[in-house]
Amino acid sequence: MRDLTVDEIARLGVLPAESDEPFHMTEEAFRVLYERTARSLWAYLTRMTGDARLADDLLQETYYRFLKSGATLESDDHRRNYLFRIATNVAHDARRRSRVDGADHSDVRAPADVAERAARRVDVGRALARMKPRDRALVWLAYVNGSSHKEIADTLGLKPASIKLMLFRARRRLAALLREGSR
Amino acid sequence: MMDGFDDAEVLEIERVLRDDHEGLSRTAHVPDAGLVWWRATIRARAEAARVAEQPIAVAHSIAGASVIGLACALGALAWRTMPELILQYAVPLVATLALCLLVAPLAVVLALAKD
Repeated sequence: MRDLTVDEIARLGVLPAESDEPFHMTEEAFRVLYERTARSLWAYLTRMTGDARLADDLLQETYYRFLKSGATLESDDHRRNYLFRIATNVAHDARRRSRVDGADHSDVRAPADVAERAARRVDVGRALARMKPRDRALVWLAYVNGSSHKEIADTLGLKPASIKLMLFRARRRLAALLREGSR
Repeated sequence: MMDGFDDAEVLEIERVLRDDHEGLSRTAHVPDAGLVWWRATIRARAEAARVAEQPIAVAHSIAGASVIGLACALGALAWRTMPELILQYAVPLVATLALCLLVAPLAVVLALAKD
C-alpha cells in the first residue's frame, strides 16, 4: 500500500474552527511532513550555521514558525520550499544574534564512525563555512535540494534573473575552496 | 551555455554536496516528531495566553487609575464643601486612608493567589 501524502492527510484531518488546537495542521499531518523533511532540514541548518547543536534548536524553531504561520500550501513541494525559506530566515537570525553575542558557532561536529567520510564531510563543512551565507544557501538549495532558480529566488528573497550568475560564482568559489582544502 | 569544464564542475560539486548531505542526514539525531509537536503546542499556548492576558492587564491598570482619580476628586470635593468637618476628623481619616493603603496590596495579592 502506498504512503499517504501530506495533502491527503491534511484533507482527512482538517481541524474544526472551534477546536482549541493552536495550529491549522493536525498532528498526524505534521508527523508525515516532519518525517519527510526533518533530516534534510537539519543538514541544511547545520551547514548554514556550521554548528550541529545550534541546528537542533533552529530545527524546532523552524517547525514552530511553520506551524504558527498557518500557511495553506497546495503541495508537498510548496511546503518543503516554505520550510527551507523559514529555515534560511531562522539561520540568518541566529547568525545576527551570534554576531551580537560574540559567540563562535564555527565548529563542525563530525561523528567518528567512518573516519574518511567524516573527514571529507568536515572538509565540505569548512569550505562552506568560508563562503558567504547567501552563497552557501544557493549551492545547497541548487545541488542538494535540486530547487529551480525560481524556488531558490523565493527561498532567499532574490530576483530569479540574478540566480544563474550568483550560483555560477558561488559554485566556482566552493570548487576553489574544496581544491584548496584537498591540497 | 555550459562548456565541458563547467559541466564537470557542476557534477563534482553536486556529488560532493549530496554525499555531505547524505552523511549528515544519516547521522542526524533529530527529535521525534511528537516531541517537536508537543513543544510547539506548549509554546503556542503560552504565547496565546500571554496575548490574551494583555488586555486584562491594561483593563486592570485603567481600573486602578480610575479608582485613584475618583478618590482624589471626591477628596477635593469634600474639602471644598466641608473643610471644618474634615479638619475635625483629620486623625481618623488619615488613619483610615493609611490602613487602606496597607490593606489594598494585600487584598490584591490574596485575590490573585485564589485565581
